[in-house]
Amino acid sequence: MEKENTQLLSENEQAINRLKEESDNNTFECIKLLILGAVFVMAFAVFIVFGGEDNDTVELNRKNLMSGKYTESLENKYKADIPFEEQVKSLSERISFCFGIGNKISKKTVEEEADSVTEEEPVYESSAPDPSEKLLQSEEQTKHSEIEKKTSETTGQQSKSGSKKQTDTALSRSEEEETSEETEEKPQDEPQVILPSTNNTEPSVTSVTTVKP
Amino acid sequence: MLYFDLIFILGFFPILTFLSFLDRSAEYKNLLLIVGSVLFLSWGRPFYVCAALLTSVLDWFISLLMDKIAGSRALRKALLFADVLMNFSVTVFVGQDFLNKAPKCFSMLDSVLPLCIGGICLRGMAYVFEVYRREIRAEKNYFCLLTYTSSLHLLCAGGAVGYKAAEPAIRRREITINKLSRGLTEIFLGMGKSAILYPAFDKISGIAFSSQGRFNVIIGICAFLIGNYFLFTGLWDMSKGMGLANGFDYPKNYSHLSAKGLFSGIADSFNSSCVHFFKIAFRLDGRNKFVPTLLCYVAIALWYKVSVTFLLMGTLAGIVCAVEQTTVGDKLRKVPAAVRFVYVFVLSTLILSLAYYGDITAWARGLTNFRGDRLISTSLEKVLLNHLWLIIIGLVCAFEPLVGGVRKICLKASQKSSELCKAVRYAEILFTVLVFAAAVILSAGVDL
Repeated sequence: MEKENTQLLSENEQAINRLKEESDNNTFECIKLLILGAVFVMAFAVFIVFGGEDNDTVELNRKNLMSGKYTESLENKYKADIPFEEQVKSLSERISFCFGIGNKISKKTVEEEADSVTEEEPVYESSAPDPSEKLLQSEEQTKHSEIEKKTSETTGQQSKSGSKKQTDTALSRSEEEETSEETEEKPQDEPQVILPSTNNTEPSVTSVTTVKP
Repeated sequence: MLYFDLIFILGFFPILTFLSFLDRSAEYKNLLLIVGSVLFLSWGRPFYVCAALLTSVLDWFISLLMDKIAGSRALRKALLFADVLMNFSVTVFVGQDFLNKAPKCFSMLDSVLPLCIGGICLRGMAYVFEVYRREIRAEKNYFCLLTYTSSLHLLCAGGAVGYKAAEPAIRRREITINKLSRGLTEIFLGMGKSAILYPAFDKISGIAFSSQGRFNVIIGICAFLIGNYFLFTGLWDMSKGMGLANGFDYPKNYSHLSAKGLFSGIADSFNSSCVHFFKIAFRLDGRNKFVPTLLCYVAIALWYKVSVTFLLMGTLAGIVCAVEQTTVGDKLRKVPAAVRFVYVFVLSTLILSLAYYGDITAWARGLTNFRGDRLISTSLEKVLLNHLWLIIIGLVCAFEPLVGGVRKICLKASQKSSELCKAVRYAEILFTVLVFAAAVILSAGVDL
């Protein structure tokens, strides 16, 4: 009798444990669904609510629909309307930073963050352009053109010397590409122009070049 | 539009899922699924997909005819042959028409649509084949068959998930909390594979092939193969997840890479439902295995792309698999794991890299290109270092021994105490959420 009782008890315990495990699993699945669902709905809402409001899609007609132009324009519009552009860019750069060793966050992102911390620039009440600003802009443009001329002269010399190198092996070519990447990473080598301005902030000229791998 | 495009994952799919919850009837859900799938498939290419969907009408007629002439075996065979011919023609002339315009170098990303059209045709063919083998009766309701052939989550969930397996869910859909939670997990992790791991390995292979180093080619081929493995397994995970969110429960269409099953194991682990269909079609359960195995792998390779290169690739893979299955397979399974790994690695690299080069001479030249002063070029070294953690995560996710190891550790930890079990489970949720968030942000960053 005692043996039977102990066996029954152990069977009951096992059944209770199984039920407990099942209920635990169900609770966990519920929590998981709630969390994942909330994340998914939030992401969906952010992209729908904070998206842009431009309505520059192609007109919906049979020709556009059959050629795929209409759906393509819809897709492009969705891509162009991605909200919080700057934040998304800097976040994606930060995520890529965690992918391995030696990744760098571009200076631009760091500067943008610093700008967001410092005081905002004063906003002028009148929307009409200031005549002094116009004068300054024309001065800047002439100086820009001068600088561009100079840089084109120097890059022309470089390209001449580079064209000699192009006849070399593919190894030297890849090294050249690497050196161009390195120079891209060091913006202090680029010519900096300090122009007189009415504001206290210094205008800076930055050139962005993208080098394909 | 692909599964991991933001417009689909954060626009099209949530709306479709929300609408599917408005009514419980399977008819409503099927109708919504058909409309959504046609819209998704015809995104940018309405004509081609309409042509592919028309084949389902012919499949339906052929299956009904087959049912009517149950007595005549020769006529049934003739009908099956006609159906195979029609589906094969649509796959090649409509689906792979895109591939012909694509560059020689095979890109899985470019082939997703052709393979989807191939998938529609293959499913139609599989359905007629099941009717021919008398595994099922011909479907009377055309819309049930259309749901099966056009369903957007069946596109990648398996080239040939049989109608027999899908029919119960088409007739009666049951969406449970468990299915939804599993579905969302699959979608999130699949998105991570396609939007984080694939681009990283794609970048590595691109740089490896474009610069000079003695081992650049080998690294490039490995990165190309692993990258495409992640692209497709990610898409399959997402499609399985979407199916679960819609009440379907399909088997997984791939298994993790392992040297245990030798080269044939690797070949079967990728798009396994398609391989399974072709194996049944070529009667690989019979005594004489060599020729059917060879023909089976040739057919699979041609299903991906009809070209001389793929014919050669299929033939080589078929010969190796046939030899493994008929003669040396048992002996090879007994050798040490390291030797087996080297054997599988060398064969996979040699045969599957044909897909990358797309040309036999380019392939031969590429594989013998061990020039360069360094072992690997500086640019490749830099990219490898820049993606080091991601590569490690990718390898852990792809190879069975490593996945199994991580799973064992988690299981042991969760068995120690209930607190640890909870911690492991919450860590799993956190990981899934982080992967999804990172994938969305990276995709958005690329689009901007």
